[in-house]
Amino acid sequence: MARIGCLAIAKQPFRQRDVSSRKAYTFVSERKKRRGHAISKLLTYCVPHAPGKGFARDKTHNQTHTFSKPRQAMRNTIQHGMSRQPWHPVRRFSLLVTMLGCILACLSFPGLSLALELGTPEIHGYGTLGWLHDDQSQSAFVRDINQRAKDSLPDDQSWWNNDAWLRDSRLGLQASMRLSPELSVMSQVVLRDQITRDFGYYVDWALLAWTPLPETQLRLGRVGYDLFLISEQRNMGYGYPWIRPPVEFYGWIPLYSLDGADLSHALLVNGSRWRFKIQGGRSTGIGIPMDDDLYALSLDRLYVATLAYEKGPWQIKMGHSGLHLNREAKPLSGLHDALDGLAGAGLPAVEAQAAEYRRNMSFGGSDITLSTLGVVFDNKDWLVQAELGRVSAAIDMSTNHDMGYLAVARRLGDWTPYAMASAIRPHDAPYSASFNWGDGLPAALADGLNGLQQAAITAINSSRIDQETYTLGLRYDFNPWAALKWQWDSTRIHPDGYLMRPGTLLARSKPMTVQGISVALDFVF
Amino acid sequence: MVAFVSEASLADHLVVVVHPSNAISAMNRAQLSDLFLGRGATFPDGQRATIIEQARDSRTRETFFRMVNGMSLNQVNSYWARLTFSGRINPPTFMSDSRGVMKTVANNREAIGYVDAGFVDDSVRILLDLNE
Repeated sequence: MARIGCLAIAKQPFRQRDVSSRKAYTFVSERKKRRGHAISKLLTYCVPHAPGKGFARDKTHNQTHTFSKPRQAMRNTIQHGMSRQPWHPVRRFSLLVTMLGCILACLSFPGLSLALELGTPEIHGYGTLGWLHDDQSQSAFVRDINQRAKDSLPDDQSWWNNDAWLRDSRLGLQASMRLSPELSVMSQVVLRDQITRDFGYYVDWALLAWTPLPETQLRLGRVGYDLFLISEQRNMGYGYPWIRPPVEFYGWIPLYSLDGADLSHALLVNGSRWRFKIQGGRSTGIGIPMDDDLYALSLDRLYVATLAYEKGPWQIKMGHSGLHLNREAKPLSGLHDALDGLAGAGLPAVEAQAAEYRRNMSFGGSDITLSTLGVVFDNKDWLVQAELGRVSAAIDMSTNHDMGYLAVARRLGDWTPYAMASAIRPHDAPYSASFNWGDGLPAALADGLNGLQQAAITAINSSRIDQETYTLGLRYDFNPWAALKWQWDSTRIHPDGYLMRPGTLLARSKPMTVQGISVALDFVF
Repeated sequence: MVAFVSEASLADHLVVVVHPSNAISAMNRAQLSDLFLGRGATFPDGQRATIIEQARDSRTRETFFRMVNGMSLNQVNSYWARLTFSGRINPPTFMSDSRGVMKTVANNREAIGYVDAGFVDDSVRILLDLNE
């Protein structure tokens, strides 16, 4: 993935502190105009906006709000193709109100579960009303990288601001129907806070399941991406003790489903259950914030193979997955053009390094592989869960990390205290300049070259995640279908180890510790 | 007579029932636990099984799981929520009371359910008495 989210800590860009809340929409537009993003500025000064024009200062683009054509096209796609500004505060408020309305309606009818006869449609659902707050006004927790952090919101640090309520709030609705003992159809739609406001991406599953044998199942359509221990249930907070799955492990890949097929088969051997599953297909619709834009991912050659073992309180699951990125990250197109433009400039050392940088930020055509191992011990009193994972990519500006977590929960009647530690570490050290591209050149050219070099290095380093989170929490099952949770998180982000956000590229080298508190009401119906 | 039995006063003497034509002769508590937790989809003889559940927060259901595997209702609900919303298997069919379970099991050869012993008649066959 291009951007690794985890407990994403995003510095806010240039805040307009004096803007009143009733001018919130104007605020967003004006702020975008005034935003002096590092890459944009550097490109404005030194990057040619069309390939093949060579490297020269382009005074015609010497404005902070000017973008290359691909970048502008991307903006148009985002803002007009979706027919709305994705982070319009009023729309966010509407989403929150909709969620709250649905949640209250569901809570009013806890037994809502339609059609209890065999062979008829059944409707079930789940939801979470969550609230969180952290001690960094310049940063934000995110559940995964498909959420944009506070930098797109007004400076509202109050407890009722939309961001605090939307981050963990979700509502899921699942409809299923058995067509015959072997055939069934199922669909699940999850309303959640995400940057891609495309209805198609809210549909997690829409599948036809064929079960020719009791322990063998073939599913066709949009099926849940099933690599990790709880990858298929990550949105359903009622199913796990914590408020959110460990973000260091689950937060960087908002891949909920794939369009294709899967086949699973289970064997019962001496009281042990072995389950093998393979999946294949493609996925589109994932949007990742990048450079104040959106990188719309398109994945194909997507496959997953897992083997799970269950016996008594033990469950072990191992898996391997691969995917192919077949679309370039358009927010980087200006930087790509600038680096390509150095070819033939007569500076062999610079050209060689520029070509290397360029190759390592070419998402289109690159591959990513993931390997995981998870263990669960659940004897009804104690729940211990741990996962380890390794992600490797063909390019450096992608996901090359090791990650893991350990969670322990103790059930004491209706109360479940829990603790968790999770971490993610990059494979490689951050990029740094081995020499300055502008050394020995005239000052005007040297400034531009050094700026381009720094922009490329910063962009590649922006994909690194190097952080850990310690969590303490308490779950209270006050009802057979609902639970309240309180959670405290402390996250330490190492230099060059957290999400890039507009206006922060040159400030990422500082470590940061963030404390956060969260409250959530989880329920099923 | 059965119609006047109050379910709230029962729920401590549970029996597991199947269709009268079901050939299965016995199941132990571990096998029942696996079946009612969705870990298996068949009877011990390999034939497909369809579990019929009592109301989600009923005392009957709470008693059943306490007797079979010691799990609390909250734990069972959380467990089933994970299965149901993972799209892995169809959720169990919930009946509002033992009468509904009796009727469904009596009309479905693959069905298996549990009811209070006071509701049992000859439309089903008792597979296991959980008080024994």
